[in-house]
Parts: sequence; structure tokens; C-alpha cells
Amino acid sequence: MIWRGYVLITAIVVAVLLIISACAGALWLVDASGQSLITRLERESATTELDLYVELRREEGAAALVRAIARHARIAGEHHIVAVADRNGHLLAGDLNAWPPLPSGNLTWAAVPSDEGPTAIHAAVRALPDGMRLLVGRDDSMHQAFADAVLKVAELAILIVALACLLAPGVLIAISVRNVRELSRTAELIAAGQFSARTPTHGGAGPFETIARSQNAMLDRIEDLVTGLKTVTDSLAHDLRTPLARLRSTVERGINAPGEAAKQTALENALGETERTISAFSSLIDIARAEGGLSRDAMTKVDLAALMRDVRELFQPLAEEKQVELRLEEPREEVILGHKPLLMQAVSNLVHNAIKYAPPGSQLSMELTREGDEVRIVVADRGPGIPEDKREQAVRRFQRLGAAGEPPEGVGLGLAIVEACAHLHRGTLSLEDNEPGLKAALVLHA
Amino acid sequence: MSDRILVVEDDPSAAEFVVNGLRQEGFTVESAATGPDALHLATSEKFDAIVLDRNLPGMDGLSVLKALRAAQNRTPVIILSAIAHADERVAGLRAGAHDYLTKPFSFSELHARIDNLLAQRPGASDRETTLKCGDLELDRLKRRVTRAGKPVDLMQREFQILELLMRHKDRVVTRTMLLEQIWDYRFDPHTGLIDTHISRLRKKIDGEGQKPLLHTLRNVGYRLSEQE
Repeated sequence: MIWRGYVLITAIVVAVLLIISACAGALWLVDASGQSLITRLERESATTELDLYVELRREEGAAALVRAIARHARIAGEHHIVAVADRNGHLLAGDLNAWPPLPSGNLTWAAVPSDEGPTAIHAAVRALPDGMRLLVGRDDSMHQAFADAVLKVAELAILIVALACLLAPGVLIAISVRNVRELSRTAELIAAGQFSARTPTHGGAGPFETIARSQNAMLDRIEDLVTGLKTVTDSLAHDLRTPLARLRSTVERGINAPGEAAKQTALENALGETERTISAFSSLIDIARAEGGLSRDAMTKVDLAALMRDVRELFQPLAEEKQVELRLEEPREEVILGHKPLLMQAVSNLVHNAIKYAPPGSQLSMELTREGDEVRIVVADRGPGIPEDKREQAVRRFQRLGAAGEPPEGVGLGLAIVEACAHLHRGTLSLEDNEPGLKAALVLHA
Repeated sequence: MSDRILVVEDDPSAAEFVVNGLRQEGFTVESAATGPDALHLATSEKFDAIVLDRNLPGMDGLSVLKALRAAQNRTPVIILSAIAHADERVAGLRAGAHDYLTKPFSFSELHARIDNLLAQRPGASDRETTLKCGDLELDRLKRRVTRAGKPVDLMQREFQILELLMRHKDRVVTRTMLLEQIWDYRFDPHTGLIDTHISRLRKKIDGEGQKPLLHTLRNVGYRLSEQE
């Protein structure tokens, strides 16, 4: 992971260097074009001024020119330079102390050697027909001021950029750290055993929202599994106690029983108890496997219509014995991808329950229908039904709703298996009122 | 000469339970506790059936079975599997097992299934077109049943049940075997469900004043036999 850090640092250094050179280039360009613009303006105004003096000399004479220049030198600002010299190069009037050593003839814009302090002077020089020479120039104060201004602006810009660079990552990091803390706080709570902990989401689409949502979805699934597993082990521990205790007392009675026949009965009872316990055990494992999605590997193509016919045929004699009419409405064929043994068990459990509670002479209907992706298996009886507030309880493991004192048949896992089957097929089990009776609908997602 | 059975089981107490039980029933029993031992015994000696646990040290039961079948060994095999592997019944049968039994099981269940397997050997009653038990006759081709010469009217499912019982005449057929072979059920619906089917069948074949042929063995299953 170290190399990742190096790549990041190199990228940052290169980016910073590029930004600095781009800024330096831009500054240089602004300065250079500004300076040349100033130079042009100064040169043009100097040329115009020289033209004016030449005019004055021609119309009013040399003495007037010298007077005008002396006056102008007195009035004009410090950065404005004007001077006039005679044919021998003696200064007649102007801002300079002496006529500078310049080449003879006209000069459009030249640097003027000067002994007057550090400032550099540029000037245009004009030679008049009578040998007099005129000089109009500017010192470099304008250039200095412009360069200072550019530098000041650049400094300000650098300051702003630097502040932004320092603050922006700080803000970004602070946001990231807060999000990461939320995620890791959830993980810590989970690690501490608080399985209901979740990271708050705000419905956005950012990367942290996505992580939080998938983390929560993962935790939901894990919590379901853990709760399911816990329920199974709790129920096992709790519900195996009763049959095991009964088994123990049966065996004990057998040992103490006086006759051979009594011992035989006790042994047979013990065998019955053992079988009930084993059956509860294997049902619980079926439920756990289905709820955990493990049984999904064993899914094959199943014809539900044929399966319903088989179940009906299997239960027909039992129904007749109870004088219940079993009616089946099903299509010729309805093939889905499913877990055949579990589906058979689920439908059998529903039919078995219905027969158990159906009053003699009544009708019991089995129905298979399909709507889009949903396959509905409905088993409806005319028995006492289940009151609305007890329906949720009926599906729970080891719940028997039979009247108190009535010896329970089976182990109370029937509907729990049906629901597990529904979940395995991404469906639901709903218990409804058949007015009167119970209508159980096993809805599967085909 | 009695039938020779090989029992392969690594849990000593479970192995003892099966081995002693089978010896009491008159079988000659050899046993092995690991996969490689089992494979060695099964290929070097002749057995009439093999009871093979799925989870074995060294080499698991399914691999032993596949190796046997690859070596053209056709000895009938019953696989014993823990509850957690109940779903893998199909894999077991596909690997060449004749039967698949989930632990814990009752000894009578295993015994009935071994009897069942041995009865299916080539030359056994399986190939006959007419099955008989006393004066009860079942014609497999004409799908007709008569008792003392009089036709008995059976539904298709009843015919299948009777045919299974007659093929295993004088031997026990358990409820689970009936559920698996007639209805393709893999669990016990825990009611008198099979009993009601059997008692309907009994009413049709064992008429008034006739000698009862279809017997119920409490907690075990059913047997079709002239003897009590």
C-alpha cells in the first residue's frame, strides 16, 4: 500500500509545478505587454510634445522656445523630463543638470545616461536646423508602478489560492472522516453484539451513501440469519426438553414395571417419543436450511399442478375418513424452479391442517393459480379459522393453537415449514379469513 | 449360505448397532471404518450389499462409491447420511447408490431396505409377470388382481402399493419406503395417512371370512404374507 502514497505525492508535486509555471508564464505575459504599452504611450506623447516645440521655435523664435521649456520643466510632474541645448551642447533650460552625452541627430526613444540618482530615463531627441537640440523623456516610475501593481495582484492571487488549497482538502477530509466514523461506529456496535445498529442514510447517491446502504442491507441479512439461528437453537433447547423428559419417564416406568407386557408397552411408547423428537429435529433443520437459502442448490423444475394432484391423492383417504370433500382446481401444468421435497411438504402441511380442522360434511378447496410472476397455492377450509390476532403466532415455531388440554398432534412446526418454503421461493404465506374458516395462501415467486 | 453385508461406518457405537443387528438377523457381516479400507474390502471380496456412511475419514462415502462403480463393481449400496445432507439424496443416487437413508434411522428401517435390495438381485421375483401370495394374484401386464379367482377392483395407486408389497412378499415394507417409492415423498407426514391407504387396500383384498394377508407391524411397516 506504500506505493499508493508515493504515486499520490508525485501526482501532487507535478500538479503543483505545472500550476506554478502556468501562473509565472501568465504573470510574465501580463507584465511584458503592460510595459510595452506604457512605453508606446510615453513615446507617442513625447513625439507629439517635440512636434509642438518645433512649431513654437519656427513661429516664435529660439528665445520663446527656451522660455517655454523652462516653464514646462518647472510645472510638469517629476517623471516628465524636458531639456534644450545649443549647438555646442550646452544646456539652455530643462529638468536635467547637464545635456547628456547622446549621439548626434534625431533619436526616437533611447535610454539616457544620467547621473541623477537610480532612476532610468528614456527620451526622444530632435535636432533643429540651427543646431539646437530638444529632448523629451520620461523616467521609469510608471514602469515601476505597473510592475508593483502586477506583483501585488499576483501576491493576492497566490494568497487566495493557497488558502483555498489549505482549506478545501481539510473540509473534504473532515466530511470523509465523519462518514467513515459513522460506518466504523456501526461496525463497532455490531462487534459489541448490538446487531440492530445501522448507519443512518439520507437517500443521496454519493459513495458513502452507497456503502452505508449496502452495509445496512448486509447487516439486515446477517441479523435475520442470526435471529433465525438463535430461534432454532432456543426452540430446540426448549422443545426437546419436554419430549426428552417424557422419554425418560417412560423408560423409567418401563424399568420399574412388573410385567413383560407393561415393559413392552413402555418400550413402544419410548420409541414413539423418540421418533417425534427426531422428526422435530429434522423439520427444524429443513426450516433453517430453507431460511438460510442453503436449499437453493437443490432446486429443480417442478410441476406444481402434478404436485397438487399427488398431494390430493395422498390425503384423499384421510379426507374421506373425516367426511371432508377435497376439491382441487389446477391448470394442466405449472412448471416453476423450486425445491420439490419442501414444496410437497408445505402443500401437505396446509392440506393436513385443513383436514384436521374441517367439520364433517364440509368442503375443502385446493387451488393453483398464476398471475404474472406470482404462483398462488390456496388451501381453504370451513373450520373454525384462526382469529386475526393469533395468525402471526400460528406461523411461529412450536406454536400449537389447539384447544388447551387437547393432546397435540405433530410438533407444531407445520406452518413454520410452509413459511420457510415461501421465503426460499421469495414468496409469502398469508393466512386469511375464509368466512368462515381459514384460507392459507402460499405465494411463490416463479 | 447367508448373505454377506459390508458395513462401513466410522462411529464405533453406530457401527456396533448396525453390525450386531444384522448378525442377529442372520447376515454375515464385515465392517470397515475408513474410506480406503472400505474400498479395499469391497473390491477384494464378494458382498451382497454394502451399507456405506457418507462421512468417512480418508475418503468420503460418495468417492468410495464412485470408485467402486468405476471399477465395474455393481454391489447394491445403501448410503447413510447425516440429517444435514438430506438434500443431497439425488447426488447419492446419481453416484450409483440404490438407496439413501438419513440418520438417525430405526434398525427395522435399515433391515427392511437391505431385504428390499437383496430381493432386487437379477433372477429374483422382479422379472415375473404374475405375482402370487396364497390365493391372491397380481398380473403386472394385464394390471389385474384376483383373490381366490374373483377379480378385485383397485385404483391405480392401490395397484402400485399392492405390487410393491407383493414384490417384497414375506418381507417388511416400511412407511418411509412406501412414501418414497409410491409418492416420491422425502418426509413423514406423521398421521395415519399411509395406514388409511393400507386399510382401504386391505378391505379390498382381505374379504370377509378370508385369510388375512396384509399385516401391519406397529412402528415398523407392513408385510404381505400367508403367515401371521
